[in-house]
Amino acid sequence: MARRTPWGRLPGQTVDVSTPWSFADLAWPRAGGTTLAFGRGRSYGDCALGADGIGIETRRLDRLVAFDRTAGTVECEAGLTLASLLDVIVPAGWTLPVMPGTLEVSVGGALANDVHGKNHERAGTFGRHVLAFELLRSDGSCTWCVPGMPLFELTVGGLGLTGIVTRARLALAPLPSPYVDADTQAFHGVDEFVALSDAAHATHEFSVGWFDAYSWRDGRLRGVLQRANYAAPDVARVAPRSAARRLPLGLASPALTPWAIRRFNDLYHWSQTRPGTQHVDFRRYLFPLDALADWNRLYGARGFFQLQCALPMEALAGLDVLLARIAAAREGSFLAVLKRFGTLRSPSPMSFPLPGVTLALDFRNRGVSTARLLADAAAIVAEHGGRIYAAKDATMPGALFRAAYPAWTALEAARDPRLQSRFWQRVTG
Amino acid sequence: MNIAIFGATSAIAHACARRWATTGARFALVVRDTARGDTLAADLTARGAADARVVRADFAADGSAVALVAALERDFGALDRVLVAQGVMPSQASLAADPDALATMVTINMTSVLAVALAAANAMRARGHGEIVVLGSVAGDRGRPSNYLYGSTKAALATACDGLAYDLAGTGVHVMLVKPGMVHSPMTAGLPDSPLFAEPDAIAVAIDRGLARHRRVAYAPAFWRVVMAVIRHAPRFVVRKL
Repeated sequence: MARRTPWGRLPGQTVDVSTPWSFADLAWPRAGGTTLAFGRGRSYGDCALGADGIGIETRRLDRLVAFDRTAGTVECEAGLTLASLLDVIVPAGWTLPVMPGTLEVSVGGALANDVHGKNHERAGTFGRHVLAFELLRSDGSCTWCVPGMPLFELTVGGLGLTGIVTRARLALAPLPSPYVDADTQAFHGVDEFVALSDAAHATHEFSVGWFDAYSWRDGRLRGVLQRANYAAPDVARVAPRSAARRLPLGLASPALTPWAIRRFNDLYHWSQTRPGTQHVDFRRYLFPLDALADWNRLYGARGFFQLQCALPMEALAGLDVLLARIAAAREGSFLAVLKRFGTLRSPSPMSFPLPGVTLALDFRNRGVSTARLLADAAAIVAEHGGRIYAAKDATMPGALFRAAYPAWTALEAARDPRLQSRFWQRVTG
Repeated sequence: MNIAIFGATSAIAHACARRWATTGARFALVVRDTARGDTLAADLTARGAADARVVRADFAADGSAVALVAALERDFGALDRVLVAQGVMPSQASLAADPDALATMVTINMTSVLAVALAAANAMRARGHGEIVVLGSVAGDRGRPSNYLYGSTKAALATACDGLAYDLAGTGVHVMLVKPGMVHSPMTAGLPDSPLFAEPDAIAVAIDRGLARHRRVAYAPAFWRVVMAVIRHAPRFVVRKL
């Protein structure tokens, strides 16, 4: 038994885990008890936290079953990380069609949270590219689920509650080059961000906006849109001109003071708005924080929250209301991200992305004032018809969750009685 | 490269095989449980192995090593590298309660391992090249109350590999004894957790480093060399508590 905490490291959130070597060794709890399987513990709050304080860590269940190098499909056990999977498929000229902000997540976790990436407008969510998976339930049943089956749709984005995914078959995307050509454009407000993103959609595979939440004043802010495309195949073997910069996180450590955060944002703003195109390894470009193991510890012993919400296109004014509230609180965000969500539908009725814009930012846990800020933020999101991402959440009110994800009743009906998370108890209880 | 792995479903062997698979090596996986062997073979093939075939063997049955190695040389190909990883670790208490069970452990951990190593050495000597990696343990460095019976089988491997290395000097065949410390594996799943535990992949890294440097003995991870030097020379009243 080992003890684990979710990525946000909030006080009181721990789980005792078993780390089985094979699915035959899975430890189901006795009648009345519950557990929850999770991969790398990258969910921020309590959505992968077993309600009874026990869990099953799947990181040793990481075998590949088959890799079809011609068709571009792979079958693997659910504990395999996306990073390990890329190590295998990239040399063969394939990549994953959807990759979240870190590769240190398991296939099972990516599926259960129906993660999205910087190409959401073009590729949708992770679940769109899942061809099939095998679902093990506590009654001993083991079912291959394929698109169209209700159990498939509820398990994608189903937060690990419908059963334990043992193996998944994924569709890959051809990788034209392991490099991306990237550039940046400055923006100075949410409207401008949306306009630039929508223009980028036609020309670029990846786009994401970063901004300095401290710079927000009456709807004006300082931000940069990063755009990138995979490089052309003929330059694939050319060495990159410069290695990807690592985020200057040292500035913010050990204490993430407002001053340090401002310096960080100044530097980032400056470095990212230099003209010209960068030729960078796609993994270094897309996953800069993966170069810094355990960056979550920078927020100190009391941990941190991440707010990630999405607002529909017709209610984007809500983003400025939200940013005004955050700016007024002077509670700094280390990473502030804006991302346009497209219209491609997920197979999952529980999926987070909706056509509109998502905002993500971190808050160091300062206790009561942070709780009040997050409660206000949730109210603003609710008022504008938005939703909050379960994978990041530790505080959203149950009413907001149930209103934003009406399919929760179907998921509850399909939930394996031996699987339960603290998150699910909190928002449905 | 043709690689034969005996006891291939062990966690350390699997970690080694994964690293070697990316170079397009061919594998013969000698295992007792062929269903688990097939899972392993699929994993290695997906990771780039040019071939991964499963061969069934019962290491508790005497007298099959020479025939096994000969069959591999004939059907699979000339062996460039052999990893001998089969082993069991019954609890000290169960062995003390039933001394007759010693025979099985000694057959698997010692007799079958040395027989494979010797048979492979004979085949490789004729060709003038090859690598033989034998999995020992730090438990073989000193008899400790908690595991001296298991440790004695590993001590036997150390003595034999030491001698075999003399025997093979100048032939182009490299024999290396690996001495892992505590490693997370199904075999140790029941032991209390400790910060001294290493992941199987760390052992595989140490094995690759030892092979590259032509080590005869490789502690894995390397800090165990220091730890065991201390324990080997510690007075009895200290070792009694370990």
